[in-house]
Amino acid sequence: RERARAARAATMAARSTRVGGRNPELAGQAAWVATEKVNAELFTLTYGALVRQVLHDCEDRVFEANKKLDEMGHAMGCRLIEDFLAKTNARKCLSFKESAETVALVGFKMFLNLECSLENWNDDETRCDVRFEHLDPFVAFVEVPDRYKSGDDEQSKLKYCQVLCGAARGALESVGVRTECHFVKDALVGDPSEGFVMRLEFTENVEDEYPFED
Amino acid sequence: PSARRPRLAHGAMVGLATFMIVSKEDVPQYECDFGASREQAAGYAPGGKKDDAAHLHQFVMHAALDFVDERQWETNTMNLKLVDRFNDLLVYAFVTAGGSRFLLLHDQRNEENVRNFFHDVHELYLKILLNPFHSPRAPIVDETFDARVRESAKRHFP
Repeated sequence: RERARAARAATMAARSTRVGGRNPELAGQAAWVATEKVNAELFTLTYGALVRQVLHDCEDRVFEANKKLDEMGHAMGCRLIEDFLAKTNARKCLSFKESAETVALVGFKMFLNLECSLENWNDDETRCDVRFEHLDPFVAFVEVPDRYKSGDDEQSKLKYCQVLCGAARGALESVGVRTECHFVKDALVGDPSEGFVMRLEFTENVEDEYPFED
Repeated sequence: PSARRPRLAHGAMVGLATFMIVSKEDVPQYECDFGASREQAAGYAPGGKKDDAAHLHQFVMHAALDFVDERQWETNTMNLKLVDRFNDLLVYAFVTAGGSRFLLLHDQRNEENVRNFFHDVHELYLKILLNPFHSPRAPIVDETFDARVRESAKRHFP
């Protein structure tokens, strides 16, 4: 009977770490532990160089640079979702809320070890805010110069972490969910005490495209 | 704006003069004038004007760069300690891994304090370097950096 109990406990534990189960945080933690790691500072410096290069290529036009970062993120997200689905035993998400939780609590944790929480859900459960405890892999040691964060228009401010938003958007689009994703609170260009908050909003389901005319 | 120390009696403990960071290509990146040094208090600089003393400090430090260049190959540590002397002004140097030189102009022999000061500034300097928006040869204009360097100087050279 002891053995049966132990077996049941083990299956319960395995199930709770399964993506799509009741506890996405645990699933995220388990996935993070299982992935290969790379030096965080290497990532931070590489990402910084990437943003710097994009700004240089866009000749300091912040609006273009933001768009480019988003596109790069989108391309990455489309690939990352394949990796994610291969590595985790993910179950199909039945609602946008589950999708958002999977991306934020499992995906971000697994790939970047980012701790975050989902809050401020609207009544429809189609929009939420992802609040990050810290975004150190991206923003450690970064000080954005004034020329990229001045101006009243939000569009004229550099969206340093836009690649992350793009990735979330790309990943979700690849599994059939179109979303809008951007940072509403960015400590790098706004108030440092407000931290980093990303808004994830469901737009529509991607229609299945039939490969041939009927 | 640098701190203006009141004229002290000759023989009193006077603090340091100037700290400078010079890049590998001899481009000054940062300069910090800490306050009066003894020769100003003693009226060494003609008229006791602050500007003349500042010019003298700069001149002495840049002249010391030649000695730094020689000295840095003689040792494998970053702290070069005392590299040059001008009357009673002493120049201490520290070379970073990337070739930037920290120069401290002082009028007291206190190697321990200088070493700790250089160590602190080096850490601050590294944080500036890690910023992706900082170009390696660009001047350091960050106010927090300036404030922390002054703080560190006050701490190590009371």
